[in-house]
Amino acid sequence: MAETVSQAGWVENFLQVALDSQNYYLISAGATSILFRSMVGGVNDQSVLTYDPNLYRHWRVRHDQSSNAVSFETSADGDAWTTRKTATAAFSLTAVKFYLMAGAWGTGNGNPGAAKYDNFQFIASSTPLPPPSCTPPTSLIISEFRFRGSGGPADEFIEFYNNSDSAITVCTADQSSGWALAARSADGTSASTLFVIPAGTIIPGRGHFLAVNDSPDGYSLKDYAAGAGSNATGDLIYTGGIEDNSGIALFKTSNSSNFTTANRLDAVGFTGSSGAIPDLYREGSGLNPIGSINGEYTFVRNIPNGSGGVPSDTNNNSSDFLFLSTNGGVFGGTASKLGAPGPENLFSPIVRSVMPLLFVDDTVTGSVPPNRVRDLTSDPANNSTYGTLSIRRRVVNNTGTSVTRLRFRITGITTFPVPSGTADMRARTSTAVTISNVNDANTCATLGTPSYPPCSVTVQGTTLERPPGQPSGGGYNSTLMVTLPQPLAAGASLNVQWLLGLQQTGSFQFFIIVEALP
Amino acid sequence: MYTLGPRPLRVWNEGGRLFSLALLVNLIGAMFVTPNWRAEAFIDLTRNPADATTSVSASAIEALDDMTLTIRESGFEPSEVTRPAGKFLLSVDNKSGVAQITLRLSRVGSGHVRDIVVPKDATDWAEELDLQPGMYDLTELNHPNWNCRITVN
Repeated sequence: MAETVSQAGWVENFLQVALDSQNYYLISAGATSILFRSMVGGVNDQSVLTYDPNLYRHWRVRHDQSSNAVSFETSADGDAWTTRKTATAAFSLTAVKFYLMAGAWGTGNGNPGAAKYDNFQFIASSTPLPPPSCTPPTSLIISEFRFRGSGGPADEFIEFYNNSDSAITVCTADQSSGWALAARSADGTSASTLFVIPAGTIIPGRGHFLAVNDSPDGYSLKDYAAGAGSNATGDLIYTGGIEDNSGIALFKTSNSSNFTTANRLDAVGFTGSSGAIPDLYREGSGLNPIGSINGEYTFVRNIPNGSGGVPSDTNNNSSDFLFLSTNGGVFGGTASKLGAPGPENLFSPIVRSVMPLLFVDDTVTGSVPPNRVRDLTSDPANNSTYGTLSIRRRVVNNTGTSVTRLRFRITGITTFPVPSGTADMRARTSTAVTISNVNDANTCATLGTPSYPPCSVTVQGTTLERPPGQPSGGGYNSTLMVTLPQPLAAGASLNVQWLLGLQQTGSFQFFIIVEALP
Repeated sequence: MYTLGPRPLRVWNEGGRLFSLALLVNLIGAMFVTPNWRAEAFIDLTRNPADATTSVSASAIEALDDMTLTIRESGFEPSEVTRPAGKFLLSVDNKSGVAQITLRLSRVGSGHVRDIVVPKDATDWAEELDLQPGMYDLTELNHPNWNCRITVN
């Protein structure tokens, strides 16, 4: 206290460390007294001494982690401190607020003077306690990864997915620092920790967490879109790298001596090596190796038809993961399907299965306009040698809150390479179109002009998100974004189209999931 | 952000060759699409999906008929269809409440032709069929009383 207010009448100044109005620690001087108060759950425990502005010039509230005690201390010079009161820290100190206040109350003092505080400091402990022990949640899985990319061997990322509807907080049973992602060597004789997701990290239900290699020529997809105005940068960065065709595992501990199957949350790796270490770093027999060739490829979990957007997790890597590339190429003898990497981080849109996709016009079937429109105009330069198919739906915001970011991820599509009789479809960017003679009363009521049938409606176009560049068109895991000029209000709906170029005609399937952010 | 220390594990293996473009277009499938495609497909055996192909006129592109059946709790709507022989796209609007639909196509007098699993929760879907003249019955595997008679002339 460089200067206290007058001690006459109803004036005081105080330092408060507060969780809320029922839980705080307080040092207060006024009316010639100094008060040290511990308020826990609304129960007051305080000590009062006679105030001396010189003896009590410096104030300190100190928490001792080892004893979990809170000490109220004063000092005349800021060096020698005297404990005036102690209490047990009985409420959470992880998110408290600090208040420095001064004021006069009532009419008892017409000239209270001024208070001056200086040298306020918040000093963190240099020796933090280990995180508390817990039973770790088990729903985090490796959802997408690559050990090499178009930028070279360091162009890596590992995406994790909280495969549950509830947020999880990273914690450990052995009080280690977090969950380790470890990688094995190519020959399968050793393994080591690549990074640790720290204890306390919170991953939302159905949300993602992204770790990227920050080495030179490392992760190259940082400009892929994530949340509104943000991109898919790493939530965690690491250096070094993962060997081609090796394996990784996520453990619910960072203590390497506890890297066992019992502590393994997930693993994915390749065939080619045998033994205890390779087996720990894969599930099932593993993925087919892809050589050591740079490419715009990725391994991503398959999202089975009818799963509501929930990825496959059968503990068999070869059936759980798809190998995709932007050219549908063959890498190291392993064929990929046309698709794209789509890394997601904590800020990326989350799957919203509560946003239904309805026909734009439910008075006609799904195979005719305006719900499905076939254009026979050949456009080879845009992957549409046999014309296009526009699939149009009305998406309804049933999330209960406004949506600011909306996109659609392709989880199933007949695309390159395909057998005869099957359509080869390539997702393209499209623009808005206006259609008339819509006879669906609900569509007209929400989006039509006039608001009753028959009406005209606008169907918004969607943009194939880049990077990566997708010169062959979008396929599996590609995302198509719709621009929202304003948030889509709760209960509101929007007509959208997905434009698909046809490089071969035949039977087709098209599956998407809705990803959105409030 | 958390920066982790170096991890001297990698042994680079960059001796591989680039095979990514060695892709075969499925010629058999392409052959019966159009005459234009048939001629071109025999020339280009290693098509990359990014390669632009020769433009095809709209009249040359086979615009397959769409035949859509609606399935309700009572069965198919319509329950009888007459159509010309040849290829068409079959779509199903499933409003039956049954989650998994498997269609069974049988030729009257000849028996089973094929089963078609309607993909659950597809945003869109169609199955290409090529039927010769005759009479066919389309049923649902677990609801044999649901029947659509398809007469192909």
